[in-house]
Amino acid sequence: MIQFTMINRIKTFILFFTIFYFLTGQAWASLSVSASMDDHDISLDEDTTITVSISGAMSTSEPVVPKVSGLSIIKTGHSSQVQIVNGSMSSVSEHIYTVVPDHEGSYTIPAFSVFSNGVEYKSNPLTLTVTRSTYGSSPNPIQNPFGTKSPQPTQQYDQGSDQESPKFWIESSVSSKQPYVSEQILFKFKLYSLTSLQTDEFVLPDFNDFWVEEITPERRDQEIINGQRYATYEKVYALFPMKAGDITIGETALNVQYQVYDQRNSSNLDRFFNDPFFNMGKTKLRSKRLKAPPIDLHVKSLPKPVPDDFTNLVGDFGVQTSLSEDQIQAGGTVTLEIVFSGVGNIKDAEIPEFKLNEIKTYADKPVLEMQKSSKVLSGKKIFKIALVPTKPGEYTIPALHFSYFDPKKSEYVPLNIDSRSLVVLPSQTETTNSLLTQTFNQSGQQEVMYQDIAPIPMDPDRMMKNNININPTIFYIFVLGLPCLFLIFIPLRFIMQKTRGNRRKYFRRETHRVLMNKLKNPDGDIDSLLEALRNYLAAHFNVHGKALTAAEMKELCLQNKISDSVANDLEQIVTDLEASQYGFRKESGVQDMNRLVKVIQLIQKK
Amino acid sequence: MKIINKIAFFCLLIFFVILAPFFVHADENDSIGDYKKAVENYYNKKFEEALNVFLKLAENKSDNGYLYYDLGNTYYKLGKLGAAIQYYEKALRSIPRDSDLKTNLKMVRSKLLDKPEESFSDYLISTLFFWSSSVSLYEFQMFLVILSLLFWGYAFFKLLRKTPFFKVNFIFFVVIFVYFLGGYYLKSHLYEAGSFGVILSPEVDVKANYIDKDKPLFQLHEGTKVRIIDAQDFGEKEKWFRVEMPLGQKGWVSSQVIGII
Repeated sequence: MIQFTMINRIKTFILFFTIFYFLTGQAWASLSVSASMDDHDISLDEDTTITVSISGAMSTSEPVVPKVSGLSIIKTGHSSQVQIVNGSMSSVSEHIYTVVPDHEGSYTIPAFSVFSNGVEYKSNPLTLTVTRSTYGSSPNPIQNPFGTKSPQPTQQYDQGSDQESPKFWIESSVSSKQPYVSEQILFKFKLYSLTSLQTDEFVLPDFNDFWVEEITPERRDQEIINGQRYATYEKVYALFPMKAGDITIGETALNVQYQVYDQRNSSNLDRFFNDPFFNMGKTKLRSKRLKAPPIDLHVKSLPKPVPDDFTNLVGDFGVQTSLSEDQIQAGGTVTLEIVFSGVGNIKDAEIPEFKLNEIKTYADKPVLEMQKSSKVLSGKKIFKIALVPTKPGEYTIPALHFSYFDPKKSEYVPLNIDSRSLVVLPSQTETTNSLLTQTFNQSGQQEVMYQDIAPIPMDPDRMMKNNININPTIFYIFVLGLPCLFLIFIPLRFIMQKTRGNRRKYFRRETHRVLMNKLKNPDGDIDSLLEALRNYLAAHFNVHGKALTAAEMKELCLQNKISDSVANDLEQIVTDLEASQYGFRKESGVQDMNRLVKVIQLIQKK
Repeated sequence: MKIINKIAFFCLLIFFVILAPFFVHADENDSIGDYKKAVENYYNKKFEEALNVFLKLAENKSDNGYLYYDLGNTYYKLGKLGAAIQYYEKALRSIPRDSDLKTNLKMVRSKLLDKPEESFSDYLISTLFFWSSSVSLYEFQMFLVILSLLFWGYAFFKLLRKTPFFKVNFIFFVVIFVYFLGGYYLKSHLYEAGSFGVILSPEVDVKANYIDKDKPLFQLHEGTKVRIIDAQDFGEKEKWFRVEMPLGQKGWVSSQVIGII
């Protein structure tokens, strides 16, 4: 039963496969290649897309891309799909190419070739017209934010919007086209967009002839133009022309990327669901380089004659001064502060060298504080001059006169500072006896005011004092030499002691060996035996005793804490041996030898 | 044992005989007459003349603190506060407890534009060897020499006489000796001549590097004391010092605007 079911299933599969093969074979038999282009008219700063569609064959070669001088055709994508519509199956493969023009002109792009089973299939040729670069602008002239009309270059619209308002463009403008040298003008860059854009590379002009300060790094806003709400992106720079004459601010460029809806293959159902969510996968990313045209300026020189007290400031400025104290003691310090503030090239502010009689002046490094707003660059520059009067008296810090250039009035405006008085209290003179003056400060604490230095004593002997010099190297050798010597002598002493001890041990061992040899191998020479015994005892007890008598040997043993019996035995044995030596005794010496061996063993143990 | 003793005595004898002549060197130049003349010029307000003589004497006399004091006074009278501080600081190394010197130095410092609240103070010196600022290097040296003679002489005596040497006493003396020797080493190396300088010009730009075109990092004024931590020599006329302020700011200044202490 199971086998029968399996055979039926295999039969069904083979039948279905055969029908599918013949059906699809019919469908794939008719292969066609077509090419389409998104935009046939583009400008030099744009690109367009060619889509090569291959339908009816599952496997073909890659389309052969034709070479066209003046155009770069780069493959940017590939997709394929199999569709079954009303029972008929079709296969569509799309190869997408981006065409980037190098030169303007009219081009004919030859057919793309595709090979399948050795047969060449060709697409239709395409035509492309490339025009010169254009600059984007608003659909209607937009009031320049600085009060002047922006230029009206050729309008540039994005894809599929020929009858509609442009979806995005950029503008650049300046607040004044005829500024004076060093006058502040604002350069504004603005991007308008109805769709969501990804901004890529932003290329500012080279402001080579300007001092540039970015005052609005980035501002995003919204603006309604012709009833449509545009998202805006703005950057503002303060420019200060550094030279007079005609200056051109180069073009500003911005690369943007945006998505376009691919309508070529859309069905009625697709259009019904005309919603970004449903359009996922049917949009394409396109890039465009937006440009704003160059701006020509005529920079005017400052009128002549230039006043001597001109501070290099051009704009609208004020000045303030202050003196940290009006009354000080001679030798003290008071600070004169001159503060220029206002709108304009505050960075360039300079004051002439400040000199006063009887007062030393020390100019500090000026401090610059800049304030940036969306409309102007303002700030202040603080000059601090330390005044050190050397002599007492009433001094007048003279009136100071400066001037700046006001571009609105086209004239130099004076800045005057009234004179100030400075009272310098008398300092101690050379003859003053007291060196120090005690005063009390506000908190009641005692302060010591130093008025003059202590004098040089009239004592020539001072010359001879404090003349002891120790050469550092000698000093270190001296201080460290003694401990080094000490450290050398400690081991030396130890080594010497050890050597001496070894020698004593050797003698002990050697005399003991000789004596025992004579005792174990008696040759009857009692004289040499006694000499060996004396040598042994002398080495053992560390004495000079080659002529030791029997009594002295006993005494020596007792002194070295050898027991009385051993000492007495030794004395007796030696006495007996001496008696035998000189013939006073007839007994055999064998017994004496044995007794002596025992005594020596006891001494050795001790 | 007798041989050891003889060797030890011989070594000690050689040690003292060879080193003693190097040890004390008294400058015996007869310059008292010049000195009297310079002081007279000083009191007669002929400061330039006094300065020339003092400078000449200072070349011959090495590290006479009193002479440096006189030079500091003379420079002060000439209105050169930076040089005055330079010589007062030099004098301070030799006569650190001199009250006149300390008074004058404090007074001149009070007239400076830059009055740093922090001073150069190393942690080890200011804590473990807090007393060392009141002692000159020479006094320190003398003290160490006497200490060394007493202690190691005693040790040798013990060694040669074969008398017992108590370990505790020995270790205690070694610790004391090492403490003072370490203090001397730190003081002499951290505050040795050439380690510090004083700004001599009214205003000096401290630069990030020794190339002129660099923008100044900060400015220093006359009399400011700086620690010299590096030097770059481009020949006789162009030498740059890398200096450090008490709070750690560092930068390069030309050697021409710095007076070495």
